[in-house]
Amino acid sequence: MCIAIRFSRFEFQDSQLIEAGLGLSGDEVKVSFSEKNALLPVHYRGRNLLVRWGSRGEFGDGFRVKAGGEGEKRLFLPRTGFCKIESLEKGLWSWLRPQKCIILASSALVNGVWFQVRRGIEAVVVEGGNLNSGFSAGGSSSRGDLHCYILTTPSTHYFKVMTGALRMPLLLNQTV
Amino acid sequence: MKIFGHIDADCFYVSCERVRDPRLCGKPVAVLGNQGACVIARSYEIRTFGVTVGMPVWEAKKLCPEAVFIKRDFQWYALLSGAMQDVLGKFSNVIEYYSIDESFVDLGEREYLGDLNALGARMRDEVLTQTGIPVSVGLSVSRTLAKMAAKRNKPFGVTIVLEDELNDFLTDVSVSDVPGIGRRLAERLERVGVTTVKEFTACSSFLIKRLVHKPGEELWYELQGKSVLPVRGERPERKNLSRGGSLWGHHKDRKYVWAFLVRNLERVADSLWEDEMETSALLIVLISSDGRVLKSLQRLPDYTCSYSLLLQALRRGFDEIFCEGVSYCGSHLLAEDLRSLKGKQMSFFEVSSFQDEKFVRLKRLMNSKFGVFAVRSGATAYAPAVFRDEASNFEISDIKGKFCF
Repeated sequence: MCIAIRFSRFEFQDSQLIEAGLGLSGDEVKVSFSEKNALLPVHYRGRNLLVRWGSRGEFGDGFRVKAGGEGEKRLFLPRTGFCKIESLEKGLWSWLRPQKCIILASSALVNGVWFQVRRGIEAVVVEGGNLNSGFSAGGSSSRGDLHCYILTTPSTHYFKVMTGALRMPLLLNQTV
Repeated sequence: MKIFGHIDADCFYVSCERVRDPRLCGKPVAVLGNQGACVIARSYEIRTFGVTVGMPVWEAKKLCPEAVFIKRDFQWYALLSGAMQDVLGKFSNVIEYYSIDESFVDLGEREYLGDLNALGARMRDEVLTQTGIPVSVGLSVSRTLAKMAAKRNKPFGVTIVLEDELNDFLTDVSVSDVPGIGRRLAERLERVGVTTVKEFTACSSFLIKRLVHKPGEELWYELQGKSVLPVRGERPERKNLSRGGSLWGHHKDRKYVWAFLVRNLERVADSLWEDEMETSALLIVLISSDGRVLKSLQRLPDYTCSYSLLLQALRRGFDEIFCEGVSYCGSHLLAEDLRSLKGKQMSFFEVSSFQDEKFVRLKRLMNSKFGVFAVRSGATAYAPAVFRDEASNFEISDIKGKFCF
């Protein structure tokens, strides 16, 4: 799957990138899913944000919901960086209240092949905080961190030949 | 003395991609063809890593892990290629659209042209300003020398070679570097001790005629600065027309293979209609996964461009060569022995194709409004993936007017 992306550093202010711990050398910034606390450049609700790439469970990402009576239930975010478009359409992610967003990538890496991204990659953002620090959301008014999951779709023939991957990121207005 | 120009785009497909995505400038970039398997164009940055044209992507990515690979989009390249032609039209009325990224121009007599360096630079800069495509320009006294000159100072160079500079220009140039001298011809010349252009031009006319026949003799004159090959403003009528390629994997399913052939036939019929041509024979080629090439030549009762008559011929040929259980990976259709419909003598015994014509007109109208293949044969429904990919609807062979592939 798409394990890294590159984006133009000019999509963000230098201060934002420095704060996020991203390098300023060159015109482009590379982000890998393998990096701890990887951030994705996202256009969401009219703003460009740096948002955590999925969840790997290290921080207890999730939220608490009321589970009847006085009790609370801890729900953890999916431990992945990707979301199958089929599962999103089936409603399997609806409990997370996912919102569509666009990743501002210029290229993406799949199986060692960097390929061009013209307009962006489609993705969803969900809210979730650190359960270990007592975060509570999912129906409450408190806001947590945003987590971004890249939407994926079965590979086209061309993409399969190019990368050997069976699934590909869902690209905005672009067929590979 | 006439001056010929050769305008050659620098890494054309990559430059086209950079026009619409400037973020690619300065990066190692390769454009992939052949269903995403092979490099068909590469930027100068990626060449330094040893990536070559035709190299599979899985090898190229090892040589240059940071390279960006791009899917080819011939429709976009055709658009920019046409724009380049428009710019060149400002410099000459006689332009030969040689290939998608190369053109020859007949600039007329030397005495009216002024400073050739300035003219070449103006052509180069005008193309860049108007289209965003960097080109190299060669100006010389024959078209062969102009082509060699353009190649000498790539990228973004201007090279002028006049008669008095020929000696220096051709020093140490190998005959195999001359456009038009292929591997076999070079080998034939090597057998008689001719390996450089200087040795080639020093041969007697008699020896040249005997060794390399008329095309070689024309090059012999051209390399001496005597122009014998004109810039052809009009493409001569084509003799045949072919459409085909990969079947997108290996397939045994009869309906799938047939669907691809029907798709190719629709492309052939469309092209015949557009060019106002008709054919008298259809060659059907299937390539099996183990590399066998199976052919069937179907002679038509008369010259035709009727889709339904061609379809009948295709069906006969397909039934003849398709074997159940055999896996296929490629197919080609070749309409042979073409002739123009213009000024055609009607026959008393002609099969009426009025219904066919009405249908084709309607189909073309619909497809011009809603996209190529919006209306197509039901048989093609067995290969849906190829129709989902819009980029595959327009291949390089669909670009009209150019002389070469």
